Amino acid sequence: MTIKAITVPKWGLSMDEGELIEWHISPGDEINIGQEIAEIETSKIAGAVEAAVSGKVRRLIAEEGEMLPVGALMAVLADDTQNDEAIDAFIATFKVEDPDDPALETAGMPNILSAKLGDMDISYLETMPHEPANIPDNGQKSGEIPVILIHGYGGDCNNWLFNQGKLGETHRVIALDLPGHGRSTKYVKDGSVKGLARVVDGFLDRLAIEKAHLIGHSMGAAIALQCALNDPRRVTSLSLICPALVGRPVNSDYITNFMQARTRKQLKPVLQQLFSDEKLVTADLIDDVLKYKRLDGVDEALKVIADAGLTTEQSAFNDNEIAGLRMPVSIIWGENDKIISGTGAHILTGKNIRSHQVKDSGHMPHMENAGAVNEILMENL
Amino acid sequence: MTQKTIREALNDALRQEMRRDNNVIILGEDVAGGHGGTGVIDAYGGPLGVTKGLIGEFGANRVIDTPITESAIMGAAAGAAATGLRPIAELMFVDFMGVCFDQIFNQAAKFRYMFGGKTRTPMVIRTTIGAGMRTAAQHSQCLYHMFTSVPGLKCVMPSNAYDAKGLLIEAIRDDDPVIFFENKLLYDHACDVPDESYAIPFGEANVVREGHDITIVAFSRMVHIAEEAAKTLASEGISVEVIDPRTTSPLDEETILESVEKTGRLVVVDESAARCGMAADIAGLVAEKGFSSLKGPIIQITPPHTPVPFSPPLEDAFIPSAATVVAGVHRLLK
Repeated sequence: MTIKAITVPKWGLSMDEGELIEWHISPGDEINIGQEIAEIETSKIAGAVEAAVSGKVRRLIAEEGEMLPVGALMAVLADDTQNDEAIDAFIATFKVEDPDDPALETAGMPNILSAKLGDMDISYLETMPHEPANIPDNGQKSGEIPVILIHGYGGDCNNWLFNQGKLGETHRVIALDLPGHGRSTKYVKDGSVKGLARVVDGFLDRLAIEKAHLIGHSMGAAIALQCALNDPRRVTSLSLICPALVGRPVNSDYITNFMQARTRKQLKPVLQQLFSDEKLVTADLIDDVLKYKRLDGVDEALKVIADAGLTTEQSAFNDNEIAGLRMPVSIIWGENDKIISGTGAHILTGKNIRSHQVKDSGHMPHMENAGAVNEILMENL
Repeated sequence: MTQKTIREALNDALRQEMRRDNNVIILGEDVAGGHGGTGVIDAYGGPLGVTKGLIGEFGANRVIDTPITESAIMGAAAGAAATGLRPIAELMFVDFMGVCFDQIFNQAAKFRYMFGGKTRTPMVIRTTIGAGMRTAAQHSQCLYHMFTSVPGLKCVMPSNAYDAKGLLIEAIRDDDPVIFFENKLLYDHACDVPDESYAIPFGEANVVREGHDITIVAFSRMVHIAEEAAKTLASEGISVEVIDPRTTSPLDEETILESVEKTGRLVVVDESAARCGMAADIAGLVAEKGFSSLKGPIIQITPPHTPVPFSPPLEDAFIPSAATVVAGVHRLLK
């Protein structure tokens, strides 16, 4: 067995360093791919590091409390055929890859792109799979169908920072910014789920994507579901994370307070409602949301969407239609969700529908317990 | 996101607001350059290049080169504002404001009040502040404290390019006179700035860095000095919270008081004045409303009470530095 490195992952476009909070492994442990091995905190959020390689832990290089650049060597894996000198030599010659190196941009590094839909620009973050063999030639072959990520109300493509990389190992992944959100045009004509689903359909048309795996969060899940009902043949699989408008009511205070928050102080308790662990809401996370909310047109866009039925309706779908969906449907709920909670969603039963409850997470299980959610998402592809 | 300098961010803000609202005009000395001459129009683009390119897009009716008469620039802007335009008047150096105090202090600042709320004065005065350019005592002052003390004026001093764009857009949309202070040494300072328009509300401080041992309140360029000091102090195990109020009028008292309640110690870094400046003002605020949480004296880091020296070594010694801030913190913790 060769000597393998575990390095600091890059979560999202802006991450350039992270602090090692805690190791979950010790020298001598055998670890598997996907195992959570450490906790790292960036200025934006804390998250679990998953092992990208398997093997026996020989050395932990990074120390708890240490600030580490992206790509830095955290630990070394190797079996007993490698002696300590070989490990020392590996560590001594290890080079941190420059994350801004253009040579790395093509593989796995996200690209910010934009698609024109009439008078609207829809921005999206696209990643291609690491293995060149997996890059789809027409996007249609089995296993080469792209994954589309649709964020929730007030979110953006960066909400998927812990998921896009994992899904991107095997698939082309596109995280879009809905109208009124992220880098997309801030003007929203029709803020209803049906209206926004039409935008997503148009977006897929524009990118000539005939079939796709749709993954949506909250309002984005309702949009994904609507797309599946509009054109079931186009949607190969459907994963709904804390879906809105399928039976469990949306906390309307959250929507109102999110819209009205003008200052960091007002916004903090609102954002804390999203998570099971309130400490995840860092000053930088609040600042990012404030910067978004200050942009011209965002206030109106958020209002148009909220007024189009996000808080007034409990369910926007026809039970029988959903039960009749043919593609695999995975529904993921956060255990301590304070935004969409309750025991509703009776309509979400059917032959192809599987429900999951994710521990230690609120309304953002894909951020708070990304490991568990990624596993469920991968299974459904 | 695109990295932009403060100069570029300000140009962005002016251009986008002029596109959005035809009532927005710019006037000042050499804001285009070349008016009335036979040479190149837009030769200058403002003394520091902030208004470069605007006359090409908006024409000489909206980007007006004025004669060198500061009082007339301010008087014309105040009158234009009272009649419905949204003028942005530029005055190269805050040091020259002395000759237009009547227009600013006694006219523009008072219109709304004296006319019983029946008129508005949506004017912005952009001007430069700060020592360090080797431009001697008459071109180096940092006089925002004087304007802060006049009711009816709003005072804004961005420390970074993101804030510069959002605060200038807010200033242009505001219905009262706003004095916008730009530090001469910060124009090339760059950070991520959205291409889209956005406004940052006045009276909301930015917590630049979170900490729990000491609160440092700093203004404009001094925010960077405070951050530098905070980094040094962090290596000594001292955790510093740095607050940039962004605007001195209105002032976000709450953020300052809450921070001092947490840390119990306050240092104010202010380039304006050793006497009756913003440092004294913030110290007074915390002494009165946050006294019970203080664990030690309030430290004011300001220049000495002298004119800005022309001698380069003396000018460097005049401006508060990270080393003087660190020394001040050590004094407080002793």
